[in-house]
Amino acid sequence: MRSERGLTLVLILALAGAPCAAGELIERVLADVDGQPVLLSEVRLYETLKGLTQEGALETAIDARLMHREAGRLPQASLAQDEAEAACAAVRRKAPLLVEDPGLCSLARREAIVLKYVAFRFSGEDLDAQIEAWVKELRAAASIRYNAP
Amino acid sequence: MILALLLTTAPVLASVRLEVPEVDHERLWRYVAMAPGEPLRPAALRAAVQRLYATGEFEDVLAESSTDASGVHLVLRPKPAPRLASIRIEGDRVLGPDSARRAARLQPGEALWPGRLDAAASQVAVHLVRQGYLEARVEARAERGASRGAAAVFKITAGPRVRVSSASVVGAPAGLGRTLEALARPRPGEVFERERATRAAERMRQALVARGRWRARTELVETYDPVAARVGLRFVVNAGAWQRVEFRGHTPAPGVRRAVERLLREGGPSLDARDAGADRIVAALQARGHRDASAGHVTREAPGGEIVSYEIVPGPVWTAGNVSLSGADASLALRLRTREGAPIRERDLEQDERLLTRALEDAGHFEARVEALLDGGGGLTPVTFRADPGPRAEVEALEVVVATGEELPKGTPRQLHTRPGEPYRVRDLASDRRSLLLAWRNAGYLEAEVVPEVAFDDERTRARLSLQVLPGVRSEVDHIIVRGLRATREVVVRRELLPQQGAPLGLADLLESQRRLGALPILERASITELDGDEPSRKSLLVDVRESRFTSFAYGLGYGDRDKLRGSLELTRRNLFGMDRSLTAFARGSFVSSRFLATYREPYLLGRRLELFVTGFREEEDRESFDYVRGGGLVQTLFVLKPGRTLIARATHQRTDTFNVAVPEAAVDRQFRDATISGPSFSLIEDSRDDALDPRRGAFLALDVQLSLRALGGDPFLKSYLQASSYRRVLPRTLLAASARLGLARSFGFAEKTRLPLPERFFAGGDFSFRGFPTDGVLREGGNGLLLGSLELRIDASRRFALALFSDLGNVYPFVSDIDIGDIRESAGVGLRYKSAFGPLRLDWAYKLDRRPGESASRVHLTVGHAF
Repeated sequence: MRSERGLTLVLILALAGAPCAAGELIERVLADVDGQPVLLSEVRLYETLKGLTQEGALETAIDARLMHREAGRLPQASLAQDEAEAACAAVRRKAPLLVEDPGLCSLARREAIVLKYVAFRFSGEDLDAQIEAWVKELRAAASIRYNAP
Repeated sequence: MILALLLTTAPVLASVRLEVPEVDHERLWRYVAMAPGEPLRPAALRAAVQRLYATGEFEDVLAESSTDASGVHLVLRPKPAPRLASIRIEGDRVLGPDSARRAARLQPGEALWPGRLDAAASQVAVHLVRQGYLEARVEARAERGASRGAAAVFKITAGPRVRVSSASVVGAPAGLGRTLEALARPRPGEVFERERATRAAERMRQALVARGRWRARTELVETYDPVAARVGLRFVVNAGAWQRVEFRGHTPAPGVRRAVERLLREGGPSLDARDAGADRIVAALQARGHRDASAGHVTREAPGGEIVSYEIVPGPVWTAGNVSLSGADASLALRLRTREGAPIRERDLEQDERLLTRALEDAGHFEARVEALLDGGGGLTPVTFRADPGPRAEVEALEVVVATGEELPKGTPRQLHTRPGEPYRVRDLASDRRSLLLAWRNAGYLEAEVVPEVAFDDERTRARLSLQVLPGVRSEVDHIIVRGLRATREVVVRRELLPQQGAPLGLADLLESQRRLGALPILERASITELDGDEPSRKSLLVDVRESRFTSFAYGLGYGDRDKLRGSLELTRRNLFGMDRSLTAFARGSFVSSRFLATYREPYLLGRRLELFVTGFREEEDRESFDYVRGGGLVQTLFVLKPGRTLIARATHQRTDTFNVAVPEAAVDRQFRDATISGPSFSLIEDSRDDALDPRRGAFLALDVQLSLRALGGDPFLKSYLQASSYRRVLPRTLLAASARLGLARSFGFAEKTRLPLPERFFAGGDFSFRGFPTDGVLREGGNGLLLGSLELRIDASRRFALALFSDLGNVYPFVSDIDIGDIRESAGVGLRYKSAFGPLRLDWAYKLDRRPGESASRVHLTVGHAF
């Protein structure tokens, strides 16, 4: 099993287009969620930040995409400027080696919106189960297509 | 150390290659936006892949890199999506590819993803079941061809086609069995189509409802025998008891009675329907001043049926006695809808309260309240509007503060409604807030907010106002991606888009672009959305369109006494050359007449937003008293100078030849007299009316100038015609409409003064002209000069009817030099208007104020539309 550090190195090399073998795949569309692409670089960010395998990171990215789309419809979940900046700063602290990638902040903003939505909509015990049911519902209503590896 | 270096110094691109067919390369290359010599940035690469994918043309976009001494070589390799090019049927060929496409609602060019194919197979199977193949099974798959498209392959196992073995009606009331049986479909021996059977069951239910069985139900029971491939149909009828409605205590008007009956018939009659009927009765009574009206309902048994009985208590009619106003300017009472002697209606009272509150607010009473008080229990009732104006404040200062210190954007109104020294009005402040918000959002600050704040002094007579602007992030247009085009060139869509790459992304530009795309006849739908991106300050736009059908065809057949059989045909081909150009050909013919007309439309003349129409026509007719042939052509372009102001330029050639004239020439309608017009003409139109059919405010101005030249084969003349009209409300129910028309023309190239050819002369008199005279009756032979003015008061008498008082004056003069203000004809009259869906139906009676010998004293006109 690769360490998080090893994963980070692979990701940075890929994202930065660093010297690599001839014909190295550095970006592609891994899946389509209701017409929106889920990209390799986005999945690799999840791999790095959450220590997941590529398969796990892809599913996480799809869930995040669905949750963000739903959360974005709720005005109470929109972010103020300072909240967006705080979310960005927090994720930069967590992954200092990726600070140059604007995708990192984008991902952090989306997560912050989802968290606000969750705080607004769900309460009580067993929050995880409620969120799980919500995601299941979102997946059932979505059209998800995976591209062959 | 190495990692830090990699992150801060991105490797440089030595080459960038996009692997797509040559024909698409230029179009798609714009979405790459990376070039040799630039650093390879992950965000730029990610955005390029997203943009290419957003075109909808690809299943995947692979980006690969390799490195040598010169730098990074980047290759973008989009993998085409399996887009529908053709349809193939395998197995039982019980329907053709076109039918399968329609059943599956597949669009040419649509991506054949697995989910879509499953849905398409289900839709085709459902279609086959409807056709009687109850056991049909359908599988669908995509097959990529050698070319760029893919085939949708439907593998059909149809099974037997099921027919109806028997069709019976069970439970029909006595005497209705045969009637219902006659409605049963499909009949025995016919192919079983479930939709027909369901429709037949519904028709049976409707037949029972129409016979007073409002609770009737019908159910279709199918018995399927798979061995014989036969289905037996039983229409099980539950007619229920008959119902009728009665009204006690008061008989509603016929229209209300019919409406209540309809509600009960359609509703079952359920409790909701009965309640809705009661509401309808009460509403009708209240509209007539029965403020305390009530209606209850009971359902009672009767021999063999039920009666829905409405117990109606109309209560007294509340009629407005003295209508007074306290606490506000008494002159405002003149504008109230509640009038002495008229029924008191709740909606009038509410509207009057609003009107008075608003008048007080306009004067600076920011907490004004108005309440209508009725003193009595019905009958003639005094109505008092009691106003509580509350404090009155003036604006001491208004400040616009931008939180981030940025300058006000272009488009900010120079003068706000709220001004120091004027009364403080909440409505003005809200309007100013909206104006500022729009200005900022139109300048690219799409998430801008404007927060109003009000601070009063201790006496609450002076208000310090501020509008605090929170601009948020300014967004620029990154890229514009167009998706969904098949036959149309991309430029046709792009030229309708106002947002430009690198410019601020303004809300008004987005809305106007959306409107323009929606107005393109070649598109069935169009939407503009933002593409998800990493940077809030740079947004790419996705323009997603679906093309409509490009060919339309219409025909008609008719019969007339003279024409006998008459037919017409119209064929339109849109989007010629993929450029939104169109060609329409229309032909109409009968045994005595024919007409042909062809029009070509170019929406962008010389690369500018300028419409050009080229029209050619020819018509001929054998009439009882004469024959004529008319032919010609017209080239016309239209400039929209600004919203509401249009300039039209034309070049016309039209020749009319009349022959075989069997009546005196004067009896030939003037539009068919021999004449040739050939030359340029211009029209300037300015229109600010709120409604062209029934204007309530605004103005209309049109100036036409026509030149016809002998050198171009026409009769030589110059003609100008100016018409202007304005509409203004002078009292709450009264509108003043005014109109003026001036026509000046002269022929040239003749030895002596000559009038224009008859069809081109000015005439006056008739429904839409000088109403004291018959059509063209002011000067029968027409003239080169025209003066005409009209004034009309239009008074609303009710929601549908209006009265009119009018006066027309003017004259037609043989030559311009004959125009004499002293020689003016005059008429005045009254009229009645009925506001219909097609415009006002108009009845006018006009009386000549200066009747001359041999003239009738008055004229009556009945027509549709206002005189001006």
